[in-house]
Amino acid sequence: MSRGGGRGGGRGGGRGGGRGGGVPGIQTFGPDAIQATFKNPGETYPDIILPVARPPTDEEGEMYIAMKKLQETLYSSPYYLTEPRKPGAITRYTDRYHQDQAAKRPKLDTIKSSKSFFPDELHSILDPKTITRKREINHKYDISKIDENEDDGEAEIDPETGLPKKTGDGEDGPEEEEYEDEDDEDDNDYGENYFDNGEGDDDDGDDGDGGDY
Amino acid sequence: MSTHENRLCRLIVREHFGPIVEKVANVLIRKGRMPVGLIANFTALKPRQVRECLLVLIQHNLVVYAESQEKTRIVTYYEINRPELLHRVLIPKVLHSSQDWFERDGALITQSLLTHGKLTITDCVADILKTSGVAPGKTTTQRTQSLNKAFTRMVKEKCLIAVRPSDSLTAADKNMAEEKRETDKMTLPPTAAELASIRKALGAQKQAEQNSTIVGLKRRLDTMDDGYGEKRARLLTDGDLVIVEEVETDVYFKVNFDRFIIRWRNVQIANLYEARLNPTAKAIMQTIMNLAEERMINCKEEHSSPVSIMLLLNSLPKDTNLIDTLEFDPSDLGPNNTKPKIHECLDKYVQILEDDLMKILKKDAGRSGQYVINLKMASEILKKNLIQGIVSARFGAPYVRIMNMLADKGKLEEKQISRFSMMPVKDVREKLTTLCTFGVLNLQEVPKTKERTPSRTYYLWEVILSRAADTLTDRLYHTMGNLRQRRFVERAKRAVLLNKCERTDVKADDSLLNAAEKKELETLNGALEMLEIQELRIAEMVITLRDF
Repeated sequence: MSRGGGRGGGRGGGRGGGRGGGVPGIQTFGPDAIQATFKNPGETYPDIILPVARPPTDEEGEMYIAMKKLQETLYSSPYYLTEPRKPGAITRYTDRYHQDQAAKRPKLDTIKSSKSFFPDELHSILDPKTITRKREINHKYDISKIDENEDDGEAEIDPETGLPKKTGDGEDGPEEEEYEDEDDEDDNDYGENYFDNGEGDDDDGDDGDGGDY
Repeated sequence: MSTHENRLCRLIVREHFGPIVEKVANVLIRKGRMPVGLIANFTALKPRQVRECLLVLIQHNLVVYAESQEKTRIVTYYEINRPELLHRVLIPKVLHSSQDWFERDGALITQSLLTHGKLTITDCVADILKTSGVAPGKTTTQRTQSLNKAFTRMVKEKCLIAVRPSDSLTAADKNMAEEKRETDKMTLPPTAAELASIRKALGAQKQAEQNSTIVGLKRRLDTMDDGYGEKRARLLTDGDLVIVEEVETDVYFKVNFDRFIIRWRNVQIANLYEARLNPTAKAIMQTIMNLAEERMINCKEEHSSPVSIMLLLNSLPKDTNLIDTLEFDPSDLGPNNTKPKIHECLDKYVQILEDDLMKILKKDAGRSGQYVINLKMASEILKKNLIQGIVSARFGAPYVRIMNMLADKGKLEEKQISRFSMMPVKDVREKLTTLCTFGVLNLQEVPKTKERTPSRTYYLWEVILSRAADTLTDRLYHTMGNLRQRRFVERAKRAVLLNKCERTDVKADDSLLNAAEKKELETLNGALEMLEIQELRIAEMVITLRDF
């Protein structure tokens, strides 16, 4: 494998250019390149002459300025997420001049977008008043209708997602109803913490039911 | 899907959206589609943070989702949209091109849409007015009208594309849902042939949808006051109704990178003729590409739509000099030596373009006076030229000679290559292995016997253009990743100085920085500019190899 890597002109900017005349070096690019072979591998770490990148044109300079401006806009937009600045152990005089960028940025619920682009579980971020309830399939069976045509019991399929459509009755309820944000209760994915691990027991020394092992 | 591509994708997200979104994107890029709980496990972030990151990524069209029914629950899986993510390296060129084609308003609209991912026309205009204000001497209404006009023009030329809620769903799940809908109509499960025909019909339907009217654009009759306080339809001088196209205010739009890539490719195809013929040939070719561009959807099409020569004649730029740039046979000019007419010159030019060895322009078989561009051939030529340029800069002319010979003649043995290229076999063998390791050449073994012994096997070398393009694209991703990472390192090395520059007192007063610090900042800005520009140059090479 030839030495000097396989990068075509990519590193010229960072290094600042090749070496001047009088400094020995091996040409590893172009027609005068010395390629390492099995019989003549050469030095392990030779001094190599890197190619110098051509300077930027006016157009490229304008592109860089436009990109830099967009970068700054993105940095101060609600889409750039960072951890909030934590106060250090020692309070310094210059702390008054340091801004918490995370606190300065607008929140995600101020962005102009439509809920239809996002799945239900992300609606609470866009609109904090919404609670996302876990969509469950309505499996209520009416025994009196058991002899009727089975097709009537099947849910209607949504053509876009291929999944059963939400029914407008029973558990789901109207959409205008306000829900709490489930994340306010817990920071985990467990919907119902019915097992309290014995914390809420008034233990009178009974053996209790114990576990079945 | 290679390591280099994954690293580049991760670094793009880090630069644009920060380290937290980078963690989530990294997990999706490396591990594929997964729900929120699993992402939170892998990233050690809270579920709420993961949801915020996913919201940001969906808003910028970088993540798609699919809802899947698992027993009694519906679980949402998220997947990264790789092509859209990799297109983000072209943002500087997109901004510059928007400025060139649609002037300052177009550039501001593009910037606003790239900041927010997708916006309606009303929100986009409001955002621009908030950030850049109104120039003195103009009212807000005038500014709004000019921005609306620019936005409508960009939508008509398909540089902006409508985003529907179904675009946030994964393409594979959408296709499966459509197939299921079709197969559910059948009483028996479909055979392989029936399934293939269903898929073909759905593909054709999608193609037809893309070719039909532009989504998000509505037409209405233009009205005017009739002097009695009522509106009536405006008429042209010949009595026809005036139809005005407007963008629908409730439709979201995003930047259509494909359209920009198509235009850049068309410019490169026209530039091929400037070197081979003359600038007038380039201008004619550019006009043909512009006329055919309206029907182009993406760069993978094989042929363009037909362009008639009469339309070409009327659409040529005014400063195109056809007569003086052609040489005619004196016997053809007649006894008075009169110069030929413009349409005769254009016919001659089109004939020359058609006869050119590149075979890009050809007559449309079905209709006379119509010409078609062979886009597939043009893309191959552009890719081949670029690969030759890379090999020439990296290794030198003898390697290019071998590569061109193999590209022209197909599969050859090293003895034949040595004879045709007039180089000793030893040198040829070394060069062939170097090019094969680089990824440009392929080796095909043809054994003479069942045992496949090396001494009784033919080794044929060949150039497979698609494979060479893919391998070089991967190398270029590696380089781009290095350049991007280098930018982070350069900033990290001067983190203390940059932290100082972020202070409110330093922002208000530059003199708080001493001379050494200012010089260091200048060095940093110079280095960052060079690295960014180098990355942009390599990104242009990548789109030639990958997208053209």
